[in-house]
Amino acid sequence: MSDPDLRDPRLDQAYRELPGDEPPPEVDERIRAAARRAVGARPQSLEARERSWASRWRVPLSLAASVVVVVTLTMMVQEEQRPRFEEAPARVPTPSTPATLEDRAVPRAAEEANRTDAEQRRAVKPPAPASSAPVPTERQRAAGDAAIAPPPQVESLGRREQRLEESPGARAPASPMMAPAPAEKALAAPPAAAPGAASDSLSRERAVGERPAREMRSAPQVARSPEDWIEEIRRLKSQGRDADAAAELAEFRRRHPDYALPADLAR
Amino acid sequence: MASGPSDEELMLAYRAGEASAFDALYARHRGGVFRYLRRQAGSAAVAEDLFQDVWLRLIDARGSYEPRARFTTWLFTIAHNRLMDHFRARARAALVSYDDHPIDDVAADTPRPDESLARKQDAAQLLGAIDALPAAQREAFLLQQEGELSLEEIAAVTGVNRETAKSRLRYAMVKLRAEFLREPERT
Repeated sequence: MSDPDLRDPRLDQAYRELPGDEPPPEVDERIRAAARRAVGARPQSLEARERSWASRWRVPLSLAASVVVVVTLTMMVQEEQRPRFEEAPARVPTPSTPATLEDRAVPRAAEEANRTDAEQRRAVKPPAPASSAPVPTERQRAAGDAAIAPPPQVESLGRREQRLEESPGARAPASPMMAPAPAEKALAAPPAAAPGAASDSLSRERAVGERPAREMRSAPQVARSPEDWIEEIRRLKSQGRDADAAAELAEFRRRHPDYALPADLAR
Repeated sequence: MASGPSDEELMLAYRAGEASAFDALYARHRGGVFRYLRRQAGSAAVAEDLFQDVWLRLIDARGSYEPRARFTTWLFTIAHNRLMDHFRARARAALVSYDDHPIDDVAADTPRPDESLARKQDAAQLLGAIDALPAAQREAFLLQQEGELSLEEIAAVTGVNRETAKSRLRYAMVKLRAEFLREPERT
């Protein structure tokens, strides 16, 4: 509209200098309120809007951060436990450690197994193969699921233990970092004592009570080291129980044909 | 020209439910629309009622808003229609009031003690000249000044063709020059 007939800068200037008529504030407020009502909003300052943004996102952001932390920690713990479980040796209870449910279940299971074994022996039947896992008894089942590991895992752990016994190079003591985690204890529950812990195992059995040699023989056989076994045979001999000692010695020879017997037993 | 979001963007935002967009839009155009109505209706009280109605109509019509033209064209179309309704309802009275609008009353509404007497006189003289224009010519001039509308937009708002709008505006300019600038009328 640059046509001089349609626009005059002097008039524009004069018009701009006219008193600025404006609507009264109450009219302004009524109109603004109507506009807010129409869209269902409340009056908000810029600061309040920023605050509401922050408060709106505070909870979701906090939750997201918490989830990230928990997931990360869980993954780290799992990563840390996996190799420990795979490499962990059998549990080595310290003398000061109170007997757990699993610990108490071991002698009972041994007793049951020994009784069965002794009866079978009386019937002149060959003993069960060493590699076979002990059959769980009613008492074992009553001792709780935690004390009875699934058979395949028991077997594999038992075999692993036997391998460790038979290979002296594998008897390196476990480092403190390799201590079994509580969750692994349930899997390590069957009588699979570590080679170095044989004396502890023996003392624990003694603490439970003096038991006949036949009872001592079968269940711990799987885990008993040759040295412990020989020691037990000597103990039987010293107690004058020659028949039991001879039976144990025969069994020992059958299990460890390559083991060089000490002079007092080799005769 | 206002910086930030355009009028059209603000109106779309308000249509989408953002009340603050309306506040920005209203702040930009409240003065122009009010003066357009005030100088057409003649009475401050009538102008306030009309002004409120115009904005309430805009609020009600927000759902159907489409930025096919400038927002100001749409806004002043609403204002024009509301003014025409007012004139139709009070045909004679409105015209009389319109014609009889005393210049002194307008000046008395907004006293400025610091203004010089000459400026006051100039303002009163210009307002008197505007007031003396025929309604259609006055409207064309006010739309040009308050709405910054083009010839085509003035034609669209007032519902006439471009040549009619042009003719109205040209006659308004000739009369204002003659009254305010003391130039001889040339048509």
